Amino acid sequence: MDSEGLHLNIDYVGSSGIILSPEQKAALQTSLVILKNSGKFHRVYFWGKILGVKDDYFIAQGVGRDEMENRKTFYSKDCVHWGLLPPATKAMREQSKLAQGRFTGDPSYEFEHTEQKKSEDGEEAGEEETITIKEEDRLSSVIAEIDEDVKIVPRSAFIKTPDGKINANRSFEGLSVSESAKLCSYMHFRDAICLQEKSLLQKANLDKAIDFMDTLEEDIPKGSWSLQFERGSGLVTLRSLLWLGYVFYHVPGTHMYGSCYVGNGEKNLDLPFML
Amino acid sequence: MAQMPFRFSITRLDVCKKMKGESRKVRGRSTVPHDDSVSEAPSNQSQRYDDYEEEGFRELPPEEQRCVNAKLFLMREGSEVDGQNLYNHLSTLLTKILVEKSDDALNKLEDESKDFKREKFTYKEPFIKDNPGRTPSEVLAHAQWQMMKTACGDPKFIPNESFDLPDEDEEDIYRLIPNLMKQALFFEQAGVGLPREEFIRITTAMRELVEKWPIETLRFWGKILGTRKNYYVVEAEFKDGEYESDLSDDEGDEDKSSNDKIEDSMIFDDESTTVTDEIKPFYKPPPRIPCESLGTGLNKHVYFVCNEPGLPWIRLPHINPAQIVAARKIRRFFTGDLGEHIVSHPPFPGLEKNLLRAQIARISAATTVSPIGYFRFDDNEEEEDAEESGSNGRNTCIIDQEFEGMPLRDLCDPTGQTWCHHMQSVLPQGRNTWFNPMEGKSGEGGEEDSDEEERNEPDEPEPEVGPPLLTPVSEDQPVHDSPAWIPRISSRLVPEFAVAMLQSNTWPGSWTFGAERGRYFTSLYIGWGQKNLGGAFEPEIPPDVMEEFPSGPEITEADDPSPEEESAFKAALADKEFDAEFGEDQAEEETSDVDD
Repeated sequence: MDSEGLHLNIDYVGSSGIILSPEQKAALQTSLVILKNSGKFHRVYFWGKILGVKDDYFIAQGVGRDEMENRKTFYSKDCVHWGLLPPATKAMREQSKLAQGRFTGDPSYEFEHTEQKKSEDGEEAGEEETITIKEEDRLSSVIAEIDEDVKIVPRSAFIKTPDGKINANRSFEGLSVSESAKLCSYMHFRDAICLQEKSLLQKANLDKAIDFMDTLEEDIPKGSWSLQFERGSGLVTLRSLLWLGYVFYHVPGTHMYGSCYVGNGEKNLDLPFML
Repeated sequence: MAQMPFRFSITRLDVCKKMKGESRKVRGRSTVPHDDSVSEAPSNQSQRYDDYEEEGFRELPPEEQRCVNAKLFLMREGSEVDGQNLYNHLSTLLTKILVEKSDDALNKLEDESKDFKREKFTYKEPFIKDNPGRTPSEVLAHAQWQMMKTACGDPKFIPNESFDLPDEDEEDIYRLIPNLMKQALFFEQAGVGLPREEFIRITTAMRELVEKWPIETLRFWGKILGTRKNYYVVEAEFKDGEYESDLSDDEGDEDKSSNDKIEDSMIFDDESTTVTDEIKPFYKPPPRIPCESLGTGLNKHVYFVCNEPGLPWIRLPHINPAQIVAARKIRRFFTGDLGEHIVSHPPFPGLEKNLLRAQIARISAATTVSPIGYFRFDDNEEEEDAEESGSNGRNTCIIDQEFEGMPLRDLCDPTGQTWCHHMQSVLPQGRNTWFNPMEGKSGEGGEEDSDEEERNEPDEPEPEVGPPLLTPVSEDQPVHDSPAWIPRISSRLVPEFAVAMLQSNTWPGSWTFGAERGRYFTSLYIGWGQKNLGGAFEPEIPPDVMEEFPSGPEITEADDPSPEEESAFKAALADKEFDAEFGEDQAEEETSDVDD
């Protein structure tokens, strides 16, 4: 969710139970402006909140002109002081999946994961390998995973220029009511995976400037998104069932859209049972 | 009558003598723009006209009267069309002819007249109406507007009248509706809950509930999100004696009969297999545990749901223990339709509304908490009552009037010792109080002696005991490594006036706040209705496949005898017959001897 107008736009996701207290809104309004200036960002987004046991983390992301390339993630516990999170590498992400349980709220906390390694001779006494994962790294990995899995934008909100840069579409007028009811009008904001596997026949109807991302229709399992109309047809809300707590909203007919995550930071691996 | 012509005259047109053969100075209204080539009448007529206006009613000379009558007739509107009268038509036609001054005017007269008529064709009502239909937002807005209209009453436009406030002493059913705005304020301070406008809508929608049902207390329980639609849930307690017959009984019977049918059809499906009557399946369904009587235990509260405030409230059926036991084993999202079938393993005995009721019951039992000291046990309770409530201990508590409150620091105690449950937990059996399934078989043995004896039998199941009422929340089972309850303070910038927030870890989405030194508190649930399992969900493994027939002598396969065995058997049989015959002959001989 864009930081400009945050105090107004947060109402759009209120029906999913995401609200900010007046104190948090006031603090965010000032601190995000300062963050934008100090980091020389083109835009700063309020990404959401990850709830921990002792404390919650507020997450913000600053982006440059090309929104997919330069993304820096910041975290804060009180909405006033922001700290930069290290970018998540692949190794970090693999390790973070081993940490279990909720976030504690202390960024320097270390999760321990013990693995029993049987030596190759089959001896009974196995070696215990303890892997420590820092909470900061885990936080960064979880945020990167959520962005890759569920961050979505409406179709034609972003345009790919011929030299490969991805810019926001200034003439995006919004989806119509009938378009916003279809899952294929929303796209994952990441490098395309399923798109390359499509046959040429399917790709013939696509517009290269707009359809360079995967749509939601190819998501597995089917039904992992809950699309609902609030206020009659005045607001479209998409909730992810894979990462419970991710909410995307769009007002049909206008260019207003945004998303927010408020949750534990745990992937819902039981999803196939629950549908 | 004389008044009428004055209305019509605005411009004046003269009709040429040549065309019509009659000299008539008429005044009329023409839809064709005034053409200057046509001469205008002299102004003396206007003077006379003004005289008429000034003098009012005046008798006209007969010729003029006939003239006026004729003109009126021409100006009479046609029966079908608006704004179309003969006068206008003729004047337009003649104007056109005069403007064009063509030689062929007479021949073209009819055609031009027809053209004019066709051009001016208007239809009163379009046959194909443009009906965009009501958009869903309109439908919803209409429903909500209706709700607000009835609550608001008629608009009052008299400014100085005093407001029509309800009397404080009056017994007003609307007083049962909780002060949701006050709760909204506290929840918002903590950054939890729904936007304030939703609370207003819910409050207004609750008015319908108090008007229709005999409610004693009312509470907004929370919101459960679903994949297609959401549920707003309200918890109510009825007045004593008002609990109606169990809605789930009828449904329970239906389910039972259908289950029996399924069992029968599964086993005795194939007609070719002849099954003897003696062989019956081993499977005995577990004894059906009855639900608690209405108004007690899990059925103490009645829940109402709606998809959006403004839409009608639907009452959820009562809960029975089998549903709770099954709900513990499955993990499902709600879809938003109450009548949706639940296809799961183990099979859930009911529809989505039963699953919803079960989850609500579980969440309520696990997450209704209060500051320690707010509720206390009733000391005046008689001993008999205490025994009757069973081995679970006391199951009712009352508000302690002398509760002094506790400071904020105590309320936010991170160990959670200052908050306690004031609602009974659900036993593994699915009820609040233990029900002995053996009691039903032996009949009502009311005496204490027989009960004690029965309890000693090894077949008796152990009575299940839950944690007693008013235990602090720090005693709850932790989830994996994290504690079950997380207390927090709501504000960092203004800690002097903050409220204490309690967040549940076992049921993420359940929030409780405590304000005013612990004297004002309430809980709210906003979430998907799923428990935090701490690990992955493990579905129940299907039970072992039942052996079709119990082994016995009739069906144990025996090998066919080999030829040697057969011949040996035959030989033995032959010997026996020989002996028998021989024995008879001997007997005959003996008897014959006797005769002789």
